[in-house]
Amino acid sequence: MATESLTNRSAVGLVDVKAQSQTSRAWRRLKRDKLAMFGLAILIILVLTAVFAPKIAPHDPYEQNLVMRFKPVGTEGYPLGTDGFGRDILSRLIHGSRISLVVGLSSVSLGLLFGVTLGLIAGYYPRMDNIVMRAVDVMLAFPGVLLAIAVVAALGPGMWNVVVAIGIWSIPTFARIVRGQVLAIKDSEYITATQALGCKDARILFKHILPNCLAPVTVYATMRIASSIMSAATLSFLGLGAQPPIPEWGAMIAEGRSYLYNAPHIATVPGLAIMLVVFAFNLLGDGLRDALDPNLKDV
Amino acid sequence: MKLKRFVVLVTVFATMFLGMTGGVLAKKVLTYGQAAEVAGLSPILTNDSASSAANAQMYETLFTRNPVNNMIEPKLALSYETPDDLTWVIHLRKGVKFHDGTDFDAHAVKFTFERLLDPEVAAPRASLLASIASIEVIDDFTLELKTHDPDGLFLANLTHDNSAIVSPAAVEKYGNLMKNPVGTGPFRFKQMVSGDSITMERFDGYWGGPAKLDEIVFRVIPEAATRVAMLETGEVDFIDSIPGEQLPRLEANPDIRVVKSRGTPVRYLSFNFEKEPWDNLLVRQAVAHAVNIDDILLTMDGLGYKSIGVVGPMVFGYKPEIEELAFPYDLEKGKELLAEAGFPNGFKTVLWTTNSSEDYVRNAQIIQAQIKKIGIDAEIKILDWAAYLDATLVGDTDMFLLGWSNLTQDGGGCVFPNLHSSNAGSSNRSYYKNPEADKLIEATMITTDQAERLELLHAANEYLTKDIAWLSLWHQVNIIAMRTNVSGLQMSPVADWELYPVDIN
Repeated sequence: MATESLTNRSAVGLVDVKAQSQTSRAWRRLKRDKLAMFGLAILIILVLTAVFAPKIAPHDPYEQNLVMRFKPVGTEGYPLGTDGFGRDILSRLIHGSRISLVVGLSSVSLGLLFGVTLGLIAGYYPRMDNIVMRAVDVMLAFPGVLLAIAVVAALGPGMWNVVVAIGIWSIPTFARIVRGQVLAIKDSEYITATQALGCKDARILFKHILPNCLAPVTVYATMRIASSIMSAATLSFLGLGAQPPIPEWGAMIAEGRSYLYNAPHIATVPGLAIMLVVFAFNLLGDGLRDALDPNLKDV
Repeated sequence: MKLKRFVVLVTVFATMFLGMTGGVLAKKVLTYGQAAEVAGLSPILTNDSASSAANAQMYETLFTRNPVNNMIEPKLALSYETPDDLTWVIHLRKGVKFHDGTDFDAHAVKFTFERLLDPEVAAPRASLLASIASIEVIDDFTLELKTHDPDGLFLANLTHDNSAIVSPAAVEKYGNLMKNPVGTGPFRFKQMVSGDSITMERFDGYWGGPAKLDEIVFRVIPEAATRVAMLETGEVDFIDSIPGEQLPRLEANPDIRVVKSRGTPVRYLSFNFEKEPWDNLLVRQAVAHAVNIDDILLTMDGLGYKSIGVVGPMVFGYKPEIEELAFPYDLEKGKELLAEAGFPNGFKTVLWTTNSSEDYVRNAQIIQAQIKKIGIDAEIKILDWAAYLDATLVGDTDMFLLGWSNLTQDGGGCVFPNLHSSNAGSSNRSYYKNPEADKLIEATMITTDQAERLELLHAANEYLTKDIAWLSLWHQVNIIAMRTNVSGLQMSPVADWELYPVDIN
């Protein structure tokens, strides 16, 4: 609800402001938000880690060394210890960051692509509204994890099927947000003006309406990446996502679960990693929500 | 006021008195933490290990395996003769009573066996007695059984829990014994609370003399960690089915004794012989040289032991010479063999496994990493147990992991169902069809002389191990943990135990 009223105003307020300046003003506001910058810093480290994973990982994440099993955190050469196969947990964590990032980003992109398109259609064409939004209601009626499990059950376990499952689960919310925005924007005078000028629907939708929907979508997408990473870890934990020996963080927790009594670090280290990344995305999302709020004037 | 004081006094004395008598008459109750609930309490109608564990305390078989030396000994039987290859004359023990007071005799055995074989009863283990052609009562304590063909496994099958003798009078009274078990065992049924527990009490009329325990309780506790915790607090007196990672915790506890013994179950790496390149012995040999079994055993936390044979050390048919056939860990040799087979650069395949227990997934992960070193790039595919049984049955697999419990403790009961061509597509899940192996296996089935069978089974074991019909990874170490005040508990190689000789202080 908050986002709708927020963007109502934004639509009115931003008509004559160039996108460039909107972005730079938002960035200036974001920079002042210490928590958001902390989240951003963690995420930059995460992205760098993922990009340079093979260079920085001290060991091969798949290499088993069975005489070095269950070494605790702080063992020489194995800063985060080893798992039940004597594999270096730090190296697995570093390589696993790639999977978490790719899954988070690609499933949200998938949700964005379909969700935004459906939202635009539903919002702009009243006749399509009922059809699209009822379908969205049906999807929303499913509990998220259950929907994802059903999709994976149909497609079979595996990382890309998890991306699809989580992507599908993101579609309805994106569609709703965008539809609400479109409904608010499409009756504004500048849209009526473009229509009067004989603009094509596609141009109106993508050039004039979509950019003004982006603020809430960006905020939601950022938060959504966090929950997608969590959902992917959940599915892997249940054995439906990444298959061994892939170092996905959720799968690593699942493997460590049975050693919780003797070697608790095997499950807790990847658990903390997931927590940290999800926390970072949420901090950034919160910061973005404030920064993109056009009611906040620069002091 | 006075009255109140009087009442309190009386109550205190009464409690003290009751407490004292309670102390004198304290019942010896032993509680067992069971992983799964029983399906029922009839040996004829069940075939799950939870039911067998309970039924083994209440029913008895004609013959039994000595838990120490593994030899077949008479139990409800006294002795037997085989006048020819098709005839078994069994003399029965006299003076044995069922829990309902009726006498155990040859008619009860005939009744039980006929019921087990009755197609209308549809007993899950009717196959145990499938070779029987006729059952004749000679006198009250002598039976003559005839088989269709010579059956080398006959006695071993009569030691199986599911061929235990039931009371004919009880079956007539109750229809079936699923909720009203009546046998000849040292304990008799007291009550069952569905999903919670089964209580059995001492049967004072037991032919071997009454048991030491007054009552035994089987409590259902599905979660392994909970079973371990309850043993630590003393809520249960002993448990089995203990995952390896819980062992150090139990072994460190001075109030608990952990007993390990070599068992019959085997875990193996199998191949789909209907798919290339697994029909090629060179490829199988390459895998055998690449798989480092010692490394796998390292992750088994002492729950597995090594033996290369298809027929394992605790199974009849095993001779130590088989270990000479072991495939030493040698990556170079593995690569050479692969090149010779036409795969100098290796190949891609799928390694199938199940999540029914964690060691299946762990074994697969180690093998996957090991065979990668000679160029075999295997993707691990994990299925739940039911789906896995289906996939292996129809032959969807490539390489796959499976196990066999060897409950009859006879090598014939292992190689025939798993590796004889006539069972391809049913119990032979690798579709191993080899006329030469078939001949060797058949020879072990139709001979009744046990010394001769040992040699024949060893010959079959040798052939199958050399041909890598499957690659044995490890054989199971059975494990039970009990409070230190429990004594006399002994486990057989098939992980069975009897509570008759057990005492608790």
